[in-house]
Amino acid sequence: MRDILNMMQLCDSMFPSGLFSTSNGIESMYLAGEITSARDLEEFCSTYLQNQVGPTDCVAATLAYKYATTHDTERIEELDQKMAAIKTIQETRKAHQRSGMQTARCAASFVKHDTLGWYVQYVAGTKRGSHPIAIGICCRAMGLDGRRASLATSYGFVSASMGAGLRLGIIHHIESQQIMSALQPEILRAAEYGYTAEEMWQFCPQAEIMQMSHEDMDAKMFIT
Amino acid sequence: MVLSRIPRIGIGGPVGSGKSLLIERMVPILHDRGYTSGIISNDVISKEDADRIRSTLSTKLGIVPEDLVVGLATGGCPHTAVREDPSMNLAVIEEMEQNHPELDIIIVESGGDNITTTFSPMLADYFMYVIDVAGGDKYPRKGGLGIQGCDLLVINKIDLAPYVDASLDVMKKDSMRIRGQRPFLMADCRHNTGVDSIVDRIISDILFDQTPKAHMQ
Repeated sequence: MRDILNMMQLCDSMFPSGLFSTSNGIESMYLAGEITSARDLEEFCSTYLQNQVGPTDCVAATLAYKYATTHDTERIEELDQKMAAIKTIQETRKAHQRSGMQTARCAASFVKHDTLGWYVQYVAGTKRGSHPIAIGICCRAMGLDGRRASLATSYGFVSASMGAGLRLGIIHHIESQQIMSALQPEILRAAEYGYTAEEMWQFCPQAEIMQMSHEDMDAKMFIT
Repeated sequence: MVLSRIPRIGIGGPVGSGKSLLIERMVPILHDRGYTSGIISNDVISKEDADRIRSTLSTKLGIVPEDLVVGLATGGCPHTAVREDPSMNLAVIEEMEQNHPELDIIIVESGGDNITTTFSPMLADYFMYVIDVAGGDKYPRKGGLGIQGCDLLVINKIDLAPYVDASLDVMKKDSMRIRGQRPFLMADCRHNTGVDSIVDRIISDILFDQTPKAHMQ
């Protein structure tokens, strides 16, 4: 039962990762009239899960977990650089770095693990960092099963997206839970991508264009 | 004496109470006394406050580098960004500390919000809450975590009292009653009245009268 408790703690919206302030482009799409209903939001999450979160973030979380198991810091550094390169939108990349740093630092305050301790120092020194990598290392440090790292990542994306949808007024509180439930197969599928670092990919051009336009908005509620 | 890390002030208060203007008035006085400041402005919806502070302190007065005035979007939840999950603010503070070790103080302004605001103890070593006379002289006695618990309560826009039928005496008495020994100060930031006293408080209560870093070299 301890691993379930740890997973609940890591995925709880109270866990201070800063994800509540990110919308992953939903804010721009809402303002552009692209996402205006519960159905739109569910479709966006489904597409993003299968074309970005799964093949990139979930793979990174899984690999980070694996490298943390053998304390392979060299590979974690390589993975970190790859994530910085693949996140082409500056706003998104910065948000990932900042939430990765804060997630790792928070976990390191209550669990001792060599790789986690190293990662906190590495991120502080290099000003790099990535949220999915931090999640992977945290899962290892907290003694969770390897598959939990990618699951926490895909679930975290949907949970943050529902928070954004609620605050933008796209959906109401009941709809958020209906969508979370309906997306469970997609969340699980995204968490099961089995790529290597070399095979990571993402293809969400519309979302990326909207994320780029978000960078230049004068008035916005969300960081991304 | 050198403090082990750069002290942080949190400034909260309702929309329009004068938080941003207070910062625009305080920072030049701190600067004149040798202290350098960095500013993070949490905005609910726009970068308006950060842009205005940057325009005043960086462009017009040239006393704060542009990268030391940072506007942060809060996902619509200013309370969350400074209280439950201050991660993004802490990340920006850490970047400021790394890039500008010469800073004497970091000021974190919360987006306009309600009377239950508090700051995470990790984010603010000293919490100032700003209310304004135009909200009515009942404001102090209404209490709330911000008014009751802050380290320094600032009652701003005292020049407006006659125009809104507000009694400064009532506000003073209620503040003393509801805050006990905790200090409060009255100000009119628009006309720069009372801001010196607020800066005096900051220098004594959070900087512990330490010599500005620039004067130590």
